[in-house]
Amino acid sequence: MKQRYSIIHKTTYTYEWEAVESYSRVKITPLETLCQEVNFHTIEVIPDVPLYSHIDYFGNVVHEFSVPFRHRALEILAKSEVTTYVPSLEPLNSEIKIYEAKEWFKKYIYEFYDYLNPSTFIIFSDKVYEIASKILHPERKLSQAIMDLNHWFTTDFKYKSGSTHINTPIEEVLEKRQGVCQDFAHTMIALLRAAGIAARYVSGYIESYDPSSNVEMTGSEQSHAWLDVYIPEFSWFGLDPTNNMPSSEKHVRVAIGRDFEDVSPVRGTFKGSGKQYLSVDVKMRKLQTTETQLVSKLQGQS
Amino acid sequence: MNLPNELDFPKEYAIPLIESSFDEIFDKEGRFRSGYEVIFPFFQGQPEQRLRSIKKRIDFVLREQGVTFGESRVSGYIERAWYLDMIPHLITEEEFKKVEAGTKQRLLALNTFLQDIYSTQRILKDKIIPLDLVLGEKNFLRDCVNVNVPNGIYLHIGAFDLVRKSDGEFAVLDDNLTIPSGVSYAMINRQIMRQQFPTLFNNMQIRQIWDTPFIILSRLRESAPKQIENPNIVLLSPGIYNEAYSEHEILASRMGIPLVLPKDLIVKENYVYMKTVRGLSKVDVIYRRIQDFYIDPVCFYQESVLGVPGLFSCVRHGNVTIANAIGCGVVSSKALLAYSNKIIKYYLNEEPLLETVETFLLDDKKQREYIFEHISKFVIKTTQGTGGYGVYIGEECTKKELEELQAKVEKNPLNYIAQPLIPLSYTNVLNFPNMERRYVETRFFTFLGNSFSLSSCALTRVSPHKDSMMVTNSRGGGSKDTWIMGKSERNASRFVVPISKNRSKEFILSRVAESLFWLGRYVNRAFLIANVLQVMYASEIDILLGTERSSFNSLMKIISRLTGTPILKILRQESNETWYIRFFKLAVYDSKNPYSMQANLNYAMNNAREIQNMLSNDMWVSLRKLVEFLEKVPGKTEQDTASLEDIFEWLSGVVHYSQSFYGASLDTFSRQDTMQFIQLGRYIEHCNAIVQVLKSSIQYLVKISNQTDDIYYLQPMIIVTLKFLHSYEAYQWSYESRFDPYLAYRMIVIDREFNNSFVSSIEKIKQILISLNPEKSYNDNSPEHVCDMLVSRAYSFDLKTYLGFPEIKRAMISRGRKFFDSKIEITPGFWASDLKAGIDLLGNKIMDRYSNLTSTIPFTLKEL
Repeated sequence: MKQRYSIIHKTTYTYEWEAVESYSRVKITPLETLCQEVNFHTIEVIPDVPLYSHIDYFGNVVHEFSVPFRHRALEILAKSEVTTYVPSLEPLNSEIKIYEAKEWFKKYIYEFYDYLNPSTFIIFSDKVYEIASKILHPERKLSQAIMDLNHWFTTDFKYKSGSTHINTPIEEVLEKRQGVCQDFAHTMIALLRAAGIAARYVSGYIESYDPSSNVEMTGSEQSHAWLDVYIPEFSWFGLDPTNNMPSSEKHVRVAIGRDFEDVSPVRGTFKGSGKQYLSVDVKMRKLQTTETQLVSKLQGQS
Repeated sequence: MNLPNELDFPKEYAIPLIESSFDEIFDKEGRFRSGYEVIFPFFQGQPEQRLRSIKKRIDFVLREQGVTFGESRVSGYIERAWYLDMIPHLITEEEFKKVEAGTKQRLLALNTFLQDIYSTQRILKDKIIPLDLVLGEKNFLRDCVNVNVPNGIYLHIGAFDLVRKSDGEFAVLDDNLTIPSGVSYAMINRQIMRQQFPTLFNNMQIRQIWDTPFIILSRLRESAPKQIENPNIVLLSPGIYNEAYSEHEILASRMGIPLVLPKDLIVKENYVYMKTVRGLSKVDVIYRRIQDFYIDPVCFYQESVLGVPGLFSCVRHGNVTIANAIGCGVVSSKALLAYSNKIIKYYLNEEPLLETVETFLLDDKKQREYIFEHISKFVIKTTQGTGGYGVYIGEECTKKELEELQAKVEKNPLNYIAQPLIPLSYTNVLNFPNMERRYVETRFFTFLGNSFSLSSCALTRVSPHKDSMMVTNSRGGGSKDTWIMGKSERNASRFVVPISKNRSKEFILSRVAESLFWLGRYVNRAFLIANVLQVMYASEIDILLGTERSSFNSLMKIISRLTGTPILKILRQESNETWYIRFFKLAVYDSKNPYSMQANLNYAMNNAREIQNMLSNDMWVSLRKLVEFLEKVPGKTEQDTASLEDIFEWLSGVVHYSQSFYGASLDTFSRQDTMQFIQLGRYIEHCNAIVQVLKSSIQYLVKISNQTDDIYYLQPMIIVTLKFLHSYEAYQWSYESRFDPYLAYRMIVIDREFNNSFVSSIEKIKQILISLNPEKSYNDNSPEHVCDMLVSRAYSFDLKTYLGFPEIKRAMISRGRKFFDSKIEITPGFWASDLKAGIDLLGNKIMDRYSNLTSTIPFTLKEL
């Protein structure tokens, strides 16, 4: 089973007064993984300035550019066409218990250090330890416990846009039991890491509407966030607590890291007085076979 | 977080302090140690009176040169004058060689460590040091992994704080390897000692240090990216509020490189440029004095206002060298001191030549408890502290302080380390009339490029009191000149510094030009306010104009515009104080008035401080005098009631000092173009004043002259106005005492023969602009063009036609027209407003040109 998607991710900054010396760093290029191929990808910036790219510490594609002169608006337009495959559910067959997994990670602490320790947004509070010790009880089977934990965000939490902001601490999310995909991902990562299980943050997109099952997915029409948990002796395994499902062929991965700090799609500075207005628009569309070929063909010609 | 900790529990430390401390001056038999047999008798042989006067001179020189060490973290910003004790600290040739070998080994090992942790991380995989000390350290920057730095050099400039143990051997107390400071203070110490004690130097052979700036420069040159032959090198400072700013100024000027602030740099197409008045100039090597974390807000700490956005991208692409390399902050953690011996052995397979003061991590609970039980024998330090902050000497702490400390340590044990309180060596300082003991610590500097060197320029610091072991300048300790005995090494290559042909270096930074320009403007505004007030009070305006109310009002309007302060409101107010006292207060120092003299001088001072190194000493002194003089303003304190006499005298003082500032700027600038920007600001302000006078008086003049033939009523107003604009004497000289409004207007506005006229001033501005940028093309957008327009507009209006023809004039006044429609006459009011708009435009165009932001900078711009 595979899917093809066309994704248009448009970020626009407009400035109340003219801005100068703006410098931006974007992480908006889909990843190449075992379950994901990038057929086509471009980034256009208006005003037209040269882009420079590199691969960051976590393997994400980063583009940077400088707009030194005066400008009233800055538009970043990323267009991608991605093929996704159904991720393997095999890691769920793992029989490993949580305490065994914890021991296993201790052995590989160097390899998993970043994903086992606190980071900018992942802070281990007493509350986090308390909940982790219940849901992720050492004697439980890891594969079962993570699915329950994933499910817990659907039963006990309310998805509410605008209820939180980027810096909302996990403590508050646990307290109010509400948030957006980013909060759920951060919270679940914190619980896993506090229990000694490696977990990392994933940002990307999700197809909004599945005609076959008639279910609307949450987190679409904008960037989405979920997480990967490492199942010892298997591999990383994606879980989407917002939609109560393992990551699927409907998920398109853009960046991975310890938390949001490592993957933030657009980051930058500018000089100027006055306010800055941001608008983000994501359009993700499933492509029919013929359409797909057409786009690829056109691309091939140019 | 359980990490393997192979450290043993500390042994029982018995610390009899002074008794076991090493005496720097006398050996155990009471004989002078090597070198002191010359120095000590020399000082003992000097009459106390002489030493006291030398001491005074030393303090004076340090203050005058602006050598300060700020104390930014405690309740605002204090600048502390540097303190130098006159007895030098001696280090023998043999000792120095030992230190040289030891620091070389240590520095190379740490440099290799950085190369390793930012690439293969062998040391972590081999489990030599705990992962937390690298991967868990906030100064370990993941963005630096796999980014190559030129020649693999991370630690171009290093500093090691060495203390002497009881046996006289040196031990490392701390490594300062990110942005080590202090080298300029050592240079200044030597310079002063040379001046004060020339004969003492003749009796001893010590290593010279005059070439230290050139050695640093050579090492930086060698580290330029892509083997650029003549790299453009700058010193990047966070700015005037940094505690070591005066060091940044001294180093930059001694090295002959530009001192830049983050806002002077810009990243374009992955190269770093500095903004100069002649465009962007590529920068190849940045000697930075900003911490890693703050240096690039896009890559690292986003809230940083001290950074250059995109700087790290240029490093990543190998287009610029940062010294020390970004990422080296990780070796400044004091926690690493616990592992320095292991690091040396691991990378170099050698035994450490230089001992490290024993250091304990506090993450192990038992160890932590033990240390706090025996706290009087330990020093607790934060792993990231510098300058004596975050240092807790157990013995010197109160019980409450210790409890608070312990709570903090429990919370974040890895942020703290413990070191045994070791008996530091002591020396003597002159504390008149006695010699007093002080503990001592020496900071040695190392430079790494194509070769390694330990600098002969070292900084010796002493504790502030005889009973305290706290040795640091930020806590009020003192310093000594450090004398390395022996011959200077003759190393031919170290004196050969290629002459820089990089022209862009000569160009003034945009920011500096802007500051100079505004400095010129603000001082002129202050001067103008003083002058207007002075003329006002001297002319007894209210009596002069008492009978003619409309003329009085018009004059008040002029005063109001020139001083930026509403006066009519004050005249209407009922008060116990006379109106002139109230107006004086408002115009001079009322904190609610943003245009007061005080406000203008504050702005001037802010601009001046940022560019102090560009100003001559005379300018700086005259500006400081001016600001100090403002403190003595009459009537500022409650008890002090200002009399007109006091005010008058005080105002003459302000006029005098502001004039002497401009005088100094003309006479003492080492560089012509620096002075030009001040003059530009000054002339713009002068033109602005003329236009303000026209704006507020021209309609009235026209009206009056048409109402009556008797222009006698206008005379007082014309006289006063001429005086405001410093044109009265010149007018009298030309026209004797016929105070005709037309002649006055002619003189002030369009008389080319008259130096102070509007047209003459605009012509001068234009000449300066052309001389600053002779090659710049001259188009409709350029400030030169605006100058031409202003001159032609000044001429395009003839006041004469308005005087005496009431009918025509009235028609004109009611009918405003666009200026450049030359067929239609314009009204006087419109004309004056238009000139004002022209002056504002000129000011903006000048700043736009020199700030490089006018328009789209074409990409792949020709480099300077």
